[in-house]
Amino acid sequence: MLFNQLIFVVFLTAVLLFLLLVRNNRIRKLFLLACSYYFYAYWDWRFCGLLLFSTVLDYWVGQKLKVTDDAGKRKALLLLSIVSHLSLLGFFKYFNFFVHSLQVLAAPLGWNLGTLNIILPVGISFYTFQALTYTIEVYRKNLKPCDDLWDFALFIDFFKQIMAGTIVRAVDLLPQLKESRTISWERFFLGFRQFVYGLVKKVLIADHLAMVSNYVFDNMGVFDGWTTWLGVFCYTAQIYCDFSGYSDMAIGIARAMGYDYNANFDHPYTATSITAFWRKWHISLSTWLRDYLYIPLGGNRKGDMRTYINQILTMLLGGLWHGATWTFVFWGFFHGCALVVDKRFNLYQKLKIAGPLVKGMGWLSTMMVVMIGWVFFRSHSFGDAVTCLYKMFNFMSFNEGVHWISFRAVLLLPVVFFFQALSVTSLKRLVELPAGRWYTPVALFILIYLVLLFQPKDFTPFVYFQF
Amino acid sequence: MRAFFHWVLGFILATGFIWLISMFCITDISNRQWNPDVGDYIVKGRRCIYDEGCGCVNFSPDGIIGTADGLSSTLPHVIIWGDSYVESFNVGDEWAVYHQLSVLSQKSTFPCKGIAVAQSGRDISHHILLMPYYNQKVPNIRLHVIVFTLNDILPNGRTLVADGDVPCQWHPNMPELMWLRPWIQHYDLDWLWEVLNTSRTSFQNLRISIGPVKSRSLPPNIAQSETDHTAFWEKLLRQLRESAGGKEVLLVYHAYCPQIKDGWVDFRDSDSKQVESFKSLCRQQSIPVLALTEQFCDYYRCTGRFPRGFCNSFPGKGHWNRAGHRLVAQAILDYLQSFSDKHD
Repeated sequence: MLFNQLIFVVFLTAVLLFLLLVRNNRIRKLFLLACSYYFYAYWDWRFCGLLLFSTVLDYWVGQKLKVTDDAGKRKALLLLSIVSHLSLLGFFKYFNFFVHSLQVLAAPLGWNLGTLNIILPVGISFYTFQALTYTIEVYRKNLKPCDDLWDFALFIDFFKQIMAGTIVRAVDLLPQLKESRTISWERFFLGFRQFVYGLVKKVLIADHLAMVSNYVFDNMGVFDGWTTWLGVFCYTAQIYCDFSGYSDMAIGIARAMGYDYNANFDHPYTATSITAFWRKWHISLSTWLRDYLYIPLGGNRKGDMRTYINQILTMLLGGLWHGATWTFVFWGFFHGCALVVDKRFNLYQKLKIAGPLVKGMGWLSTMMVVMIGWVFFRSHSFGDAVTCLYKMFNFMSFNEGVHWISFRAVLLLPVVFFFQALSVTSLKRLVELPAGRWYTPVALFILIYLVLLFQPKDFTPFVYFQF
Repeated sequence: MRAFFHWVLGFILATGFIWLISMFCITDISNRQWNPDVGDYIVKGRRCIYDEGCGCVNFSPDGIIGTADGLSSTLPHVIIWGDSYVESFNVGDEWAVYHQLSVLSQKSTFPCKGIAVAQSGRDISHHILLMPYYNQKVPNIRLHVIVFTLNDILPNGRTLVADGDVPCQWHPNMPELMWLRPWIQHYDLDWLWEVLNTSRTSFQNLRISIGPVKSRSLPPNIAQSETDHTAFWEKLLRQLRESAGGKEVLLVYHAYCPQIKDGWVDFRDSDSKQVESFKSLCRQQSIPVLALTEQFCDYYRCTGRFPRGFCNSFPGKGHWNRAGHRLVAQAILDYLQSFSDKHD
């Protein structure tokens, strides 16, 4: 069930109506929990057991941490939670990846290791990390263990974020679930508006740009340099609009229901350094990696060399989190190296106070690094990625191949980059569609109509669903 | 209450704005009219599309395309039969194969007037059944040109056949919501039509039950194209000659190549084996067949461009673009000229 499907609109309408009519907080939360499990079961009911397992395990660990002060026991409980979750994630997501990789080494010895036909549970990467925020924060005594099993179950399986939304932390959501939240007109409007923004980004922009980028990346060797660049630009815009669109929809729905999530994107393509980029892109993941991987590894407290290693290791694992292929791992490593360079020359701080020309150069080089990274992120293999980069930068044979300037790309790319640029100026208020203005409902209804009119006829899943 | 009225007013204003804009740029509804002589629902008047290429096509009440000046031309008529390729919505009247044939022929030794009888989804059986009617309707017919692909000559259910036999009866499909279409066209409600269509499909595909969705794998399908259709084709060609009523017939085959496939430009025609069998049968029955595979492939080799695809679709995919229509028109004209030269 995707946010841009009719079944979800029907589902959400029913949920909101119920929440509007029923005031009892306990009943509301139980209803939301039932809806969340139905939402997940809509994809495959068999994997609801995994959610149940995560819920029961971490609730039990939380309760045990509450009554245990012994450092050794507390650590053991934490490790139990971490090992269990990561084992499940490792099995479902990475088993075949590691077997394939080992097969390359084992093949000369005549061994055939074989793989399993494993279904990857949707959202497992997200809810695993989400669940770990609870046990880690309880272990650190930054969060009181949740005594209400139903609240905790709703935290693990709140349908809005589970299927590739934001990684919501326990410290942010659990206190909200305890309170009695109602639907107010103002919150509903803000949520509805953000949902429409997300829908427009996903359906009108990302899905249409995907048609171009998919065609180019799937036939990499055919096109000339210009078309290859266009395909990379399209994918750069597509992945941002797809993922931030989904995040906007998830945050909008939560807001309409009375719950507040933190922003997951902050106009990342306006960043003037790679450090700034990672403070604006997939904020919930980057802060998770910072707080639960980078800092525990030592962060920047153990000298420069150790800092660089920690950065690379963190980003490498961040790449692996995205997918079970070496291109994702390399993407993470690539960004890790870029962060090391940034750190080494203190680019982030210098560019913050630099003049417009230097900032412009910083922006350009950041975009170049990010787009090169996306080439590896998107490509099916290293060979495809290298072919793509060769086509992009081999100016001797830049015009060789099929030349294609897609009308969709020409129309949509400037829109994306225009709104990114607008976000750093005072003019952004013009497009915010504030409540109470006469043009706000007009604009929102027109946007909804355009979404209905131009939705692609083929099914286009969210890019981050595969993670 | 105030907020409610605010939003109702916003909805009304938005609807009005969309209605106004759509009058100028959205023409989606295909209004059709039952023609008892033709025995089919003919597109009424003019229709434009913008989602693959961009163009408008005018239909006469008899379903003939390219007759803006009627059928009063003194030049011999060449009727081009086909499906959506010949219907030419993607390029419009002025770049369609029939018009390009007329224009190109003016500078040749064989001036003629190109017109078309085409509708999306039709195949050779439809043309065979309709030919006698248009033989009466159109004066001075010089040549019938039937544009086809392999699917158009296979008894695969698209053709009007019963148990693999040649067509003998017409079963036109009434377009959906026929009663609504004139209203939509009259009040410029095309903007609503598209949304209703999409929503209808979504409602039909609505699933409430939990997953996973069970799907049965289809039994292995022995491709029709691998079967021997000689007997069927012999009957088909005999009926074609009868329907043509003594007028000359030319079959024009266009393969789906060159195309971009798996990272390469593929020049191979996967249907060539079956098409060669069909061509040899045509030769036996003295029906000429033009295959455009080499012309299309040479066009790409010389220009680096495909004869299919548009800036708002994909290169090498979909219907003919202006260049593709021109190639077909030129091939037909070359045939006419070579035939004319032989008889001179």
